[in-house]
Amino acid sequence: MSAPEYARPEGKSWLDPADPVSGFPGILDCVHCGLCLQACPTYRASGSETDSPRGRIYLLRAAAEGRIGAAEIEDAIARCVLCRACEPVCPSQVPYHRLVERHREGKVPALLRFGLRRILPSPRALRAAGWALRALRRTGVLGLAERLGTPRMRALAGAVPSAPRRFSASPGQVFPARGGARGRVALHTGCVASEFFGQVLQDAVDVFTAQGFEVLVAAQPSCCGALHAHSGDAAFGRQLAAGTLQAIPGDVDAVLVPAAGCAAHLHEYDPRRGVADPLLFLHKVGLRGPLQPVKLRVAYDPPCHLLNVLAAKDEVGSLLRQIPELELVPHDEAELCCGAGGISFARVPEMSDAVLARKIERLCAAAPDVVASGNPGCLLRLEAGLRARASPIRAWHPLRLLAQAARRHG
Amino acid sequence: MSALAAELRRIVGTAAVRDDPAGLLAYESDALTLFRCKPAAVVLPGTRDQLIEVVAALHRHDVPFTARGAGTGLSGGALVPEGGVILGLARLNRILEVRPEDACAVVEPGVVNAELSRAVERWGLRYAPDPASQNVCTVGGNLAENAGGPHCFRHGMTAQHVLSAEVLLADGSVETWGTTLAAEDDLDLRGFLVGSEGSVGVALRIGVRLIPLPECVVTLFGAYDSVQDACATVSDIVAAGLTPVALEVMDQKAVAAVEASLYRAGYPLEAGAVLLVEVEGPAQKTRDDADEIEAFLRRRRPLRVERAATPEQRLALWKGRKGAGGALGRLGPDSYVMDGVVPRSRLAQVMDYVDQVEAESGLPVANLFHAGDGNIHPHFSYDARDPQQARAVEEAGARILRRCLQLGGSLTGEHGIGLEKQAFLGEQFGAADIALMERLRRAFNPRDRLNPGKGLPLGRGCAESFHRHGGYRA
Ligand SMILES: Cc1cc2nc3c(=O)[nH]c(=O)nc-3n(C[C@H](O)[C@H](O)[C@H](O)COP(=O)(O)OP(=O)(O)OC[C@H]3O[C@@H](n4cnc5c(N)ncnc54)[C@H](O)[C@@H]3O)c2cc1C
Ligand code: SF4
Ligand code: SF4
Repeated sequence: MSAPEYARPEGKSWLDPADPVSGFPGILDCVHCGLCLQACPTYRASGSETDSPRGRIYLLRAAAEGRIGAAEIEDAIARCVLCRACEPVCPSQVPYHRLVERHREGKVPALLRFGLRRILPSPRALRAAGWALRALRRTGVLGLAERLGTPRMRALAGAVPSAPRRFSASPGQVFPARGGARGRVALHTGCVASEFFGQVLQDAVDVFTAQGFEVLVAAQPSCCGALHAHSGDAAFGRQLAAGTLQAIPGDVDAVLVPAAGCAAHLHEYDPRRGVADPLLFLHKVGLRGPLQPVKLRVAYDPPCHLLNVLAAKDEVGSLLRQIPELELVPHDEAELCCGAGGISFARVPEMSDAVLARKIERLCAAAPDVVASGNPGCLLRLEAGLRARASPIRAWHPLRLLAQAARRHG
Repeated sequence: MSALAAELRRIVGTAAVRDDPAGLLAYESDALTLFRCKPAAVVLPGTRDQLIEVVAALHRHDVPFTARGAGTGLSGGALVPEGGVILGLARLNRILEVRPEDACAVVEPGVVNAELSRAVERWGLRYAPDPASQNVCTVGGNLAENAGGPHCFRHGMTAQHVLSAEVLLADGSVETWGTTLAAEDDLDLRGFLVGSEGSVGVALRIGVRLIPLPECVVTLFGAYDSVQDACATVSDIVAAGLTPVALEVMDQKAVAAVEASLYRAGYPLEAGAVLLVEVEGPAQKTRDDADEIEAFLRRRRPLRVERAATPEQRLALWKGRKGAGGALGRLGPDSYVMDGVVPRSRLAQVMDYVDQVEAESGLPVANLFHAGDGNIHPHFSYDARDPQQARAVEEAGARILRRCLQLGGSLTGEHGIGLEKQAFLGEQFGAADIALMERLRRAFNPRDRLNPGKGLPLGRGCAESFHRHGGYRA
């Protein structure tokens, strides 16, 4: 029997280029079934279909067809946190994030554009900004802004962690494997991560060297461009991804990116470069014992892009369960976004706050000692949400738990 | 509207009333995009009391309104005519009470079908009706449409699982119909409410029956050259007195779409039709029944018969079946999913006719159906922006519905009459029957303000006050 013409894995590619929606490839694949609604954190937060993937796609299509003004739909699209939870549940495989990126293309506000183009990719500017922000956090200025500022000020101030720490290793530095050597990995240090999340990067070094990997700290430039792609500067985002990967030597087993959002972006940019989330990689190669006990109750909150782009299942849970005495406590709606969403938290603070509030409530109900999440952006948001509630729950990268388990005796 | 809008905002808060263009446009259709009509406002009450107050206000202002769950309905039921208000019930999603020892629960209408099942799993219970949209559709929407699902062949439709409902009537008054106790001794208004398509009252709280999770489940399928062979096998199984919980058929086009999608389940592409069967119950009996069914599956020269060996395989087969509708959506810019019923023995005949309509209309159609219930769902692909195709698809649907009636069937198995089928109601029922239904509905909804123009071809409502989606490219 000949291949039926109904099977079109590539979607509606026969679209006429003169069609008003041809600028949004895949948009007509949406059949308005609504099967994506419950996956969407913004719909769950507001209950409005305007805040749902189906609603947003419908609005994008209507705007392209001239049935509604472009300005009228701006807010609805801006409120999307681009968690991409709507993609794996869509039976029509609508390439949702591409539609939104396409819509945002070229609409980057000037100040944001400056930050994205001039600060994040420049090691010197980034270092200066990092220094200033760490000082503002130390002196309590940011804490004040978080308590008294407008929602946007609160969101921005919350984007600096409670105890920011710079990563002190220099680009190109090599940390030798400990114990029997198993291989060699490159560590992507990132932009914000290298200024604020030195702890995570140090933990990555500790875990992987203890696991028998030589760790090579990637040379700059080191901003992957994910935030740019989400914010409407996709071309520049691709340029940064290319530069980042170029600066990493090819003879490594994996390019480890301890930020799921960045790992997802780099992986999608070039699936053949061996870009990996460190936890998924560790799960694949197998965790080598012995591990020291870590006596903590831990709620694992998976980063959206680890689930929805890198298709993670239970890998991280299975790693954490191997740590003696660590107790994994379940919390409701773990798979829902925390509201960080690239920089959505600063652009649409009301929606992001509503999504975050729901997450924090579920976490407080589970009352763990630590909430673990493998993405600095999520850690920032979770920390900010917990801080606002004066909750004792700490937000850690899972690497920190693994680093504690890998510590040497004594 | 602005005085009313201000009043509504006072009741539910500013953010929970939308009357801006984007806030409204997203509500102009449900999952059947053949019809569209932009409401004048969308209200999203967060509590039962807010909802009651909102309806009282709408009654005072004499404004028509329609309740909406997840908007996955496939007959245009969750639309409101121009000038009307949509009550979005997604936020009313609390499970109020679970009584495991009585095997029942009381929920708010916006609780999602599958979440109810997940929530009661720890007591070894589930909510039986399982529409393919179960991960998103609401118990309130299920009640209004008397939703079914693959497993309703054995367990019964929503009507068999709703025990009671607290009902908000069009004038803002509240009544309770039915009870969560086993015995019922008054007029069965609960039964009247289920399937009334949101035009009798808004369900505020719903008491549902829960049933035990089965001890053992076996899922198997047979692949055949033709839909006819698959249908004949269904008849064999039922005639032998076997009671599988589900009997589902997918034709070749549906299988091809599933296998090309992310729901790929390993269904054979070369088959003309696949028959999916599930048996559940006590372990020994289930395995015996499954063996007997397997023997029937092998009788009519199948290309292949397979039994899911692991729970993962079972799940994959069902994901494929339940994702088929969506996967079919990729075949054209728009899709139209029909719903009709024939006596089980007439399935092969009506499928022949669907083929004929496909050939004559030139519109591709794929088939999925609940064979156990004789409930067919031809899926048409078309481009709604092309007026000719939009007309053709409606006409094709009409021909198939008429054929269902001729074969002794009915207009809807589970999607409801809504806007889609009211023109045909007169062909299934006599004038006296329709008048009786109309009087019944008017007893509760006298001014036709609650979900007007749906179901019955009543008053000024009618499909005419809703725009057909077709042909807006001019
Ligand atoms: C992919 C897909 C698969 C589907 N599969 C099936 C299937 O297998 N079986 C099946 O039966 N249906 C199926 N459907 C149709 C649809 O999911 C069902 O009709 C479902 O019951 C609708 O629920 P909803 O919450 O989306 O309701 P909506 O579409 O929002 O509303 C449907 C009707 O219910 C009324 N309503 C909603 N809430 C209330 C309330 N609280 N009180 C009174 N009236 C109310 C509305 O006014 C409207 O008339 C499918 C739909 C899709 C898109
Ligand atoms: S995006 Fe996918 S799941 Fe959502 S309505 Fe469209 S087709 Fe359905
Ligand atoms: S990306 Fe996330 S927030 Fe945006 S529509 Fe999809 S599920 Fe909703």
